[in-house]
Amino acid sequence: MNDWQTWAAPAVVIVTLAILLWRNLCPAKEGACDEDCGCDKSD
Amino acid sequence: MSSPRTFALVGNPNTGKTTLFNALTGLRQKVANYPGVTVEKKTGIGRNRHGEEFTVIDLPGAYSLEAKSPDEEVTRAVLHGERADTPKPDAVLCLVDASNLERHLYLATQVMELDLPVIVVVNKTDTAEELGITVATKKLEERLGVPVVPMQAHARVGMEALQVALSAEPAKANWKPVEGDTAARYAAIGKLLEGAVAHSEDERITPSDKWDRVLVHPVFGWLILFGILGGLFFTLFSLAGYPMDLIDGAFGWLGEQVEARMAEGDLRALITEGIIGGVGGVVIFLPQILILFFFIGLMENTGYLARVSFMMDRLMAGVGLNGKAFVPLLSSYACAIPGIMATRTMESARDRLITTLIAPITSCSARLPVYVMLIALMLPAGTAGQKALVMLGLYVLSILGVYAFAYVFNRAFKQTDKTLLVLELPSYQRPSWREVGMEMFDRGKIFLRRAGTVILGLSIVLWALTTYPKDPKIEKQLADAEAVLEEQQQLLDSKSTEQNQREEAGNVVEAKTKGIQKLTRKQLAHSAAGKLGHAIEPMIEPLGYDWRMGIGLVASFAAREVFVSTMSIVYLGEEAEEDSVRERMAAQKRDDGTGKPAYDVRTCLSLLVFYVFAMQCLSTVAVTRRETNSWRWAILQVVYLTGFAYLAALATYQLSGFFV
Repeated sequence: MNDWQTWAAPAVVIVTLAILLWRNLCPAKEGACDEDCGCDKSD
Repeated sequence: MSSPRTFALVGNPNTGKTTLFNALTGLRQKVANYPGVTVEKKTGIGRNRHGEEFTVIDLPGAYSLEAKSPDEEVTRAVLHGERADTPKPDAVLCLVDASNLERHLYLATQVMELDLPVIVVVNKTDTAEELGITVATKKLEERLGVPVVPMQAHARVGMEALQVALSAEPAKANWKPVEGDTAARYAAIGKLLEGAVAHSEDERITPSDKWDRVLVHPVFGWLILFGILGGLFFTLFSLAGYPMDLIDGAFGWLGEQVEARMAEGDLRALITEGIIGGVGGVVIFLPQILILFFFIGLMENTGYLARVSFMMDRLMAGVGLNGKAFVPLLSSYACAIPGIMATRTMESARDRLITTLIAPITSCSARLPVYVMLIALMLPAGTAGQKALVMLGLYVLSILGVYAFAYVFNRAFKQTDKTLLVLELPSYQRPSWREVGMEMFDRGKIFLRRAGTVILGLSIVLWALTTYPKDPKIEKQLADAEAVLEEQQQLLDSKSTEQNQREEAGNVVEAKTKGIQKLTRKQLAHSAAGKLGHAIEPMIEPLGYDWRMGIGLVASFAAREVFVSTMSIVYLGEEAEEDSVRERMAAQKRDDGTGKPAYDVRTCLSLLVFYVFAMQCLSTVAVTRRETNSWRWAILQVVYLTGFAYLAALATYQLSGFFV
């Protein structure tokens, strides 16, 4: 068992969770459609 | 250097605005929202004959500048330069339909009165000719003093003349503002068109009319529609298999590469099981999404989809809904989010609300992976035709659901205003493969982006929930068992191993593999997701589900297709010798010791019915809240849909017991 992997995996999970929460809870960018489905989020 | 010129594209709905917009801008488009309202803002960059760039804003379709719906309000405000987020256009491209010039000029003449330079594009001249209408565009050009370009945007006929107009200095129209009411405007338009539009004497029966006699026939029309849908689903099951195997193979290869290059550990498990397994489990359905949108694009492009709206409208009236609700509902078959956003075209606030509430029942494309997987599990030896029939049944069930709840809400909410549907049926035309291709490309892009963002994130979180907390005792047993397994495997692989030793090693490998599967199951039960699944098991048991399916149900509350990726994570390692998630699921037995398959016909049916109705999409909840400006409706939507899905799945499982 690799030790560094034991802490690296939860770290990746925490960062992912933070990104998911930030994406959903932060105020929408002006002019952006703030949807992940049905419209291009290229703004 | 001066900034590029901005053209606003204005016209009635169904004039071919989007086709022209695509022709002018190609793939250089940007879609966003007008801040504060859920009205789509489409801009693109084009290039004129001198190589200079210009910007095109595709404004929402409107019948007049007297705004009635949020859509029309945006068009009005942009043209008046009242929106801080959008520059006032330098000139306006007024798109009018040659076959109905008088009505389309209603809006166009209002635009001419705004003191903005104008280019008039007379589109669909081919359709007009079929109807025996000829438009003398040169005469109109002389009278208005601005370019009047005849076009068939669909076939890209007239693009050269339009490019000439776009490259010249734009001019204001020679048009006196009309004072008075609608009649006065129509009188002024009549005067403008005098001698410029000729109708042939005999009333012609166009090829479109002939087609319509069959395609919108009260009996044959429906038979043909069901035939087309049946063909679509048949293709989904029969044709998509090959590319799906390729994608599955590619993700499998990727997982093997990671396993070969990385030492065993949590991070490797996260990458192979969580990321590659989770995302791959969803991406595998890309061919089906593309086939679905190929058919939808084809139906839309040929003009058949408008006929489907027309046929449905007769039914809509039966449940008290305005026929305009059909367009948002139809969009919801792709995804409920643009569907709900499309309710903005409806003038009545009450109809808007009802349509928003029922839109998530339509079978959106996110359900497709779930349906395909469950149908394949339910009918392992079924033909593509049988599977297509079940799929068709699910779509019919969702349509019935839409109608039933439209009826309920129609009775519950008082009607204060009544609006009429004016549906224009475009002529049938040869499909533009380029546009169908663009639609498929766009949808595929959206699907893949979703898999690479939301699904990826949720897969990682789900992997963590199915992995942590770990039980040190099980961990130790697992490590010991794996060490023995590896040792025995080496013995098996070695050429110097004798026959009796080989047999013994084979027995140990088999026993240890089973032991590892048992321990993995125990570890999953000990994890956070496992505990959650067990906690809700008593509630979902009457529906025919076990705790592992419970994990899938809870996880897919965020997005339906997560059910598929969850299953690939939940069942990973349990049946190591099996390849695909579907095979692993098919091999699952019930925990009650009966040895019956976990995914039998009754459970699959119950799950399918659950997914037809359940509100498993957080993004839709967010859009409903924004659209209705209240959490109340969003919560009502979640509660009524989830509650009904539960009851319907319960009834399906219990009643099917009498037959299966």
